Amino acid sequence: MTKNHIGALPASALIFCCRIFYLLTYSPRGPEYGGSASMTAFLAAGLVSIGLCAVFWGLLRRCGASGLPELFHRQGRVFAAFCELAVLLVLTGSALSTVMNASGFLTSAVYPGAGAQITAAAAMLVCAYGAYSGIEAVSRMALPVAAVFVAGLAVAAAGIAREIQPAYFTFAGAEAVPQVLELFFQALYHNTEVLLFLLLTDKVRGAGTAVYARGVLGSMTFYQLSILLVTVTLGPFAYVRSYPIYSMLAAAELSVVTRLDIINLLVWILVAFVRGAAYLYCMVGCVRRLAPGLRRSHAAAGVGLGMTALAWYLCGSLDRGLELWELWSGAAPFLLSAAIILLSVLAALAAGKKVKSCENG
Amino acid sequence: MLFDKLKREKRHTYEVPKRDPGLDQPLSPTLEDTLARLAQLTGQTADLQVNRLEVEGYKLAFVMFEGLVNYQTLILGTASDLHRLLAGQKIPSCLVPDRLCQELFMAGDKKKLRSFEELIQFIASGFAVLLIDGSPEGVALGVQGFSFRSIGEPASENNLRGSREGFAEPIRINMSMIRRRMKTPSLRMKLLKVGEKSRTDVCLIYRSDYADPEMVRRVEQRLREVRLDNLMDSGYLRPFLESGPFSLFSGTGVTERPDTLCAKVSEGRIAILVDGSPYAILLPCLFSENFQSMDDYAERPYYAVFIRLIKYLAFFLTILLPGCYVAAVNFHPELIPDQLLFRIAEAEQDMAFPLMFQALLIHFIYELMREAGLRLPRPVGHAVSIIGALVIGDAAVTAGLISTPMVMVVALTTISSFVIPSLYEPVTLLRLLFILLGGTLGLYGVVLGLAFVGVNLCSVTVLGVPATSPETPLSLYSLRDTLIRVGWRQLGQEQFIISRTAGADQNGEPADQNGEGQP
Repeated sequence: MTKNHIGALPASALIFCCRIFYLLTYSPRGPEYGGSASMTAFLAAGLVSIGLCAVFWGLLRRCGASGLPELFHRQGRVFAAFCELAVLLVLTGSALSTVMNASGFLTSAVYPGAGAQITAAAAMLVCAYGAYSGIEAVSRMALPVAAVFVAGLAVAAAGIAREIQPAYFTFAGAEAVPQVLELFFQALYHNTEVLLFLLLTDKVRGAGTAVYARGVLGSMTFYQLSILLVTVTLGPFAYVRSYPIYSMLAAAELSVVTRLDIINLLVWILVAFVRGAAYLYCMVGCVRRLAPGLRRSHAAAGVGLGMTALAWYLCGSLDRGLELWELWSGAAPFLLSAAIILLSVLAALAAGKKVKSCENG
Repeated sequence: MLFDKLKREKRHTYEVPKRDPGLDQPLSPTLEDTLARLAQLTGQTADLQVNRLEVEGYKLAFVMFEGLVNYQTLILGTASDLHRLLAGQKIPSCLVPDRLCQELFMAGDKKKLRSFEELIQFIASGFAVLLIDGSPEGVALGVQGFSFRSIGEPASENNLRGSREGFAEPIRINMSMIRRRMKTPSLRMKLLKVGEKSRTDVCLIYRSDYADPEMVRRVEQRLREVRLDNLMDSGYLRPFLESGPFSLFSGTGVTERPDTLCAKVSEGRIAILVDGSPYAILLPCLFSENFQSMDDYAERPYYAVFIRLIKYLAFFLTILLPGCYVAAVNFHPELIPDQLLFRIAEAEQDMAFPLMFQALLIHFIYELMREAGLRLPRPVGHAVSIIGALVIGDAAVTAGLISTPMVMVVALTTISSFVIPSLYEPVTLLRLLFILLGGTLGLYGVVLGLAFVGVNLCSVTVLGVPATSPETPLSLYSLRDTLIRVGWRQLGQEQFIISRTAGADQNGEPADQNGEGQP
């Protein structure tokens, strides 16, 4: 048992912030059937994600492991190195896509014409500092960030209340099923938080599916509320906007403040920081397990500088950035994560049976 | 080559702190030998007084440092008692110290000593040491009479209500002030010596019924591991007690008030007094305590809540207002109401410098004036305020160096910083950081800076207690005395224990903080 103990609530807040990230740059594609398609898809994806976590966690417990890294290292150094490298690949892609998504949103909606490289590099450096500070600090910070998000949404709702038109919300019929399925898989693939959670379970006090589920259910609740709010205020106008939530906040008014898009900026950068820092922290862990003699500070510096350089390179060209985005929006990271987990579980179970058969003679 | 040069300079200019040699030597039974050795060790220093006398056939010598002893008590009390005690049946010289310790009652404190280290320690602390020819032991008599600053109002922690007593420099005086306020037998005071040469008295204060024993043990261990030549102030010890040297915020607190110290110790904290310093260290310290004061607990709850909210607002104002102003005007003018925007534009159009530079310039001038005001002699000090009003308030604006809205922003920022004096140092640096970030990256930079500061604060942990508790990790019940303050009828029913707050881990510091722990 390590000395690190993240409380259950900060851990749930961490999962909440990681999942809420994509909501803030949520961008509808195609006809939305009054927002209900998205709401249905995200709800289903969240529940499936909880189910998957329960299955994987159960398998881990069956192997007698408190976390994924422990499972990797049971099967020898070669197997462990292979798994750690695969995990490192997934984490690298997730961290990069977080920061580059951030940069893309900022340089298209908030600061048109600003340099994408500098925005991405600055964000990556701050995330690297967060990773260096440790997962306890990041998870402690996730709680107030989640509170700021909730408060921001409440203020936004107050500011845009005068524009609410309930008639904009319609329930989708059977014709929405293909789109619901498309959105469902999109939402499912977007989240590699199951892998993140299983990498951190040995540090979470009282870890279990309940911790993960609380984070997911919380994020799903606010997904539903946010999409509902966008739908009933912007209506069909939402479908033509690249970032409808940002547009909704820009149209909101409260007293002398004639626009509230600053809330989107504030909340989203903090959420991106928490997500990026969590992924970078896990990357530092992978690197240290691959090179056990490496000091934590050196590993964090190496990961931070390496990722900053990578982000700088990828943001240097729109094509390079889009290539990564297209790859990471698809099934690749999710399927790779699931494959790593299942492979290590199966290997552990097979090794367990072999030992038993040897004992039985 | 550069490293070699640095190493040579270090060896040449610096000395590793080490104990004075020869102090472990025991006292000689021969008085003259002891006195000769003492003169040799002290280099025949001018302030060492040796008064030889013969009483009832015993050769004695009083040894003391000039100015540290109360001569009246020594002569009228102790010296006169010697004749009474040593008259009559002659006892061996080696038994004289025991007899004096048992029967000499004019001196408040009597201790036997056997080595030169103890001898010098006692006479430097204001004791008069009596040496007897024929005995390898001396007797230290507590007849201190050195001058010290009287107990007065604390200079850095002003309150409208509550006690006006602040700590003084002598540690014993401070210990007595605490004992007088907490008459419980569970109050413990443990004395240590820190500083290889200064051998400064340091007192650990805690309550045995509330303080976690493991926490006390770790603090004591850290103090014993301190390697300093001289310990002149409690501030020297703080870095040795904190976990992260690069954190902007501290997990230890400082107080000049005995009532504050007693209140904190009653919550299971550990206090450290240092001889020669009127500031006591408290640990662990939560970040939210910077927004609390003794006045909060003397006022009615609704007013205390109002004042605390003002303090939190002041904190965010002082670190964020200049940076957000620079960012909003430069990069996000659409966020500013139209009428105000036109006024700002009108004011800025004739300025010689960009907004970020104006903000940095005016803060630099203000810090210069503040530092000058602290160091100037009092008769000249009022000139600083005149210069400030003229230079900043009038001349700089008229000359087009800074704009009027910027003067307003800086004035509000500066006033806000004085609302929370315990956070003045980090707030000053953060303000400059946010101005730079706001001026270069706009509100994006400001929010990134907030993220950086937030995680830096969340990483502060002292003795296993996170500084951001009870806000995060969240403890709903403990919030009754952070943002708000419930009434004494509720507060007084249970006592908050710091070692049991949310997130506290008494197995040790989180491994992340040590740098070498688990990934």
